[in-house]
Amino acid sequence: MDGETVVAIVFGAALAVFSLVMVGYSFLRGREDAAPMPETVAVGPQSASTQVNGDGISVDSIYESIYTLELEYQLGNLPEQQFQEQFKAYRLQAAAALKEQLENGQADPLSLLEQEVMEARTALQANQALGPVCPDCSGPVSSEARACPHCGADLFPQPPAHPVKAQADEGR
Amino acid sequence: MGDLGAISLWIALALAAYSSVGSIAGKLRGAPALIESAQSAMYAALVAIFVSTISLVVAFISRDFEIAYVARHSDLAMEDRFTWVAFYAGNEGSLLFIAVTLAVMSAVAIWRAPEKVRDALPYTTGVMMLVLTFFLAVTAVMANPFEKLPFVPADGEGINPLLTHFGMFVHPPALMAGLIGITIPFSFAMGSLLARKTGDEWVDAGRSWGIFTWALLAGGLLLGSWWAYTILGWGGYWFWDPVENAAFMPWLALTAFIHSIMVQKRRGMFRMWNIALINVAFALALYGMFMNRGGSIPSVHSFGASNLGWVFLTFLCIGVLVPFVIFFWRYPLLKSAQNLDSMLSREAAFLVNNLLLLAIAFVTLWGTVYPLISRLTSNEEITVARPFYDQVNGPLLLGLIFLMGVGPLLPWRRANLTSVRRALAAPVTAGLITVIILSVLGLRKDYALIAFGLSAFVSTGILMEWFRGTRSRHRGSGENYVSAFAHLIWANRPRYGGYIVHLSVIMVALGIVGTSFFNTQQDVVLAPGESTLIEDYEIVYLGTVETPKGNRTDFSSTVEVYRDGELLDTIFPNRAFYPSFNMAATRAAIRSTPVEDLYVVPSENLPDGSVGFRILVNPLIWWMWVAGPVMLLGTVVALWPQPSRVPAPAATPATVPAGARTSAV
Repeated sequence: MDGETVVAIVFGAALAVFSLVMVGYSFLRGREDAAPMPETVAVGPQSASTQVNGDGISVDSIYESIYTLELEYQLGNLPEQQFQEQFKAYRLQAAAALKEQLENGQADPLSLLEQEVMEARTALQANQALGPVCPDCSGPVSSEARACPHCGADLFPQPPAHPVKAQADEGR
Repeated sequence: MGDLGAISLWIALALAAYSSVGSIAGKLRGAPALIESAQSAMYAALVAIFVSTISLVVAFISRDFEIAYVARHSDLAMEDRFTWVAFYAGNEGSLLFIAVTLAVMSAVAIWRAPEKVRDALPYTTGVMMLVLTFFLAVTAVMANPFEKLPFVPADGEGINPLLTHFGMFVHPPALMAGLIGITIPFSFAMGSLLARKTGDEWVDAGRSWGIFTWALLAGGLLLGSWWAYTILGWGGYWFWDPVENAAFMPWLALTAFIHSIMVQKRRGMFRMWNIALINVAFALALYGMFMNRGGSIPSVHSFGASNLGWVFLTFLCIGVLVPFVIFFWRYPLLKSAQNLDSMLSREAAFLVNNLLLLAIAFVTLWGTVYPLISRLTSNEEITVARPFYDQVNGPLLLGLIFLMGVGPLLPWRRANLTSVRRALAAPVTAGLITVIILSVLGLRKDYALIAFGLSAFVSTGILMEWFRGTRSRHRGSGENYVSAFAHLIWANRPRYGGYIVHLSVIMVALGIVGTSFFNTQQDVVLAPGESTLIEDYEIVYLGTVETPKGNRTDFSSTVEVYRDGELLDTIFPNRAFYPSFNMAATRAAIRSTPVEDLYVVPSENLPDGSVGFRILVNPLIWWMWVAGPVMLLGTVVALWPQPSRVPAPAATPATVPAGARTSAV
């Protein structure tokens, strides 16, 4: 047997032992210490954003869709009315998903807050149509108001209702 | 090192088989320790394959000619840098390369798998390791690269001269990695189905790995075309060769997949369709690997041929049937969360794009297998050539380019005619102006006119999106235009990465149209001092120098290029003869500009010093090669991890700059 073969056998044996240790380690640790089945793994509460709603769409995806919708609107690819309709539809979808999380006891405090604000805004929009809102508290304000009647935020100088859209229109 | 390589190969095979069986059995029996052990076996298999791979590399570097594979694919004259190419120059080494690539991808995919696919991960691991087991078994049993010769030859046969080209350092590994890489998104899909996770859990992993393998295939195809263009000496870059087609078809299916998976991610739609698409892509990848290793259709890639065809054919049949059986088994659970709101929406554009891509894939498949079908049905082999593919696939590809321009300008869910008209006004105008200008300049080829018009249409749409987004950011946040543009791209990486890739596709289209409709070719024999005219170039042949090298004789010709009597360049087309392969390899001399390539290649060296030259003027082909890096850039941008859109309080959607984070509420 030449030297090279001996080296090959020694290294091969070492590799085999390493592999056996890797494979057997989980059993050697004992069942109690072994990782639980994936579906029962205690990884803490699943992040709110990875939760799915009744349709199986994750809240993450809905946020992403809202973001894209806003971008399309800002780029001038969507008219105002269509943007508002779809924005409302996504909000409702997200609200439903968060509500489902709440009912399942999976929501974290941020999600709870998110859901409350979302419901409030949706209701507000239903009542207020597209009237101007305070940039601080989202409460309805009149277009002539210098301060928000709800939170007192200074509204002067009054920003345009949708400046970016206005800019986009200017550019066309 | 051969013994160690062989031992580690067998250890890797045992580990992969154990990992496959253990993962699935552990999940079925609810045995977490077995699942964990099987997953550890997967990592251990990777280590073992690495040892095997390093053993083969060391055998090449030390020119261990006792190993038959090393003796067949290297010699003492081979430069060490070609070890990388020699490694996969034959069947045995390329199978080991495929195995190590799959092992690395599997380990990374499982290690970095998103939390939401965790339930399905044992099945996913099982599928990946099943495929790896097949490749390791074939390598170890039927094509072992560590097999020894009964004697040690004084020198090896040497590396195939056609492979000693820079393109060969990347083209074959990229294609092999791309073909086998489809296993990863496929395994995530199958794992989810087996685990009854029939929602969108696997979508993120499937999309990322789908784009990654798509880019590998795209890069491999482009580099392969470049290699053919510079070394094969016929002046073209795509032959519709069966092996080229075998890599092109899964790329088409993957292109469809990476678009439609976006619809599932956003809308929870196309769930069945995406599973079917990834199954088709995987089946076509297996078909590609079958074609490369003993498919019964003749190909210019004959150096990859082997007698393993029937093994791969069997695996192909299993790889097609079993996934579709699983698909139909879980079919009742695969319901879309929502329906298509309107045919005038981005989802609908993606659907039509998918159908066109699949149509091109199946036309190509039909053309590829037609010789086989004709032989079986009429005892006469009828080969389908380029005119067939051009006539059938040409209009479909134009349709795809059109959709590439329209799709991104349509919003999700639903668009109305007014907004579509407004979005398309500028791109359509740009396309029409291009067509009118080119017509006025005398261009009379309909297909070319349409293709140039569509290219202008798509490019204008993309550039306008960039401009509007940048302007919006500039006005909204006060950033300067450069910074606003950079932030716009960075804040929307998947979207703008996709646009960059679309631009690179347009660049490829320009190259194809330029060379298909406007190239000029001349075959001429020139004695030293003689000249010839082609287009507005004058080509003067000065002479040839013959230089004997270690394994070949080089014939380097000197050619001067003039235009309007002015010397533009001196170029050196080269031809080398390799006695041990009884083969001549050419290197074209190419004077490349964005407008056109002047391509000069020696096809024959005559005893009196005359040389037979093939001379071509190929317009716009420069854009095709530049498209490669652009495509790579777009893919990196699209794949760069983007954090979740964490809802930020307070901002009103319409008051933030384009691309900035906003609140969902």
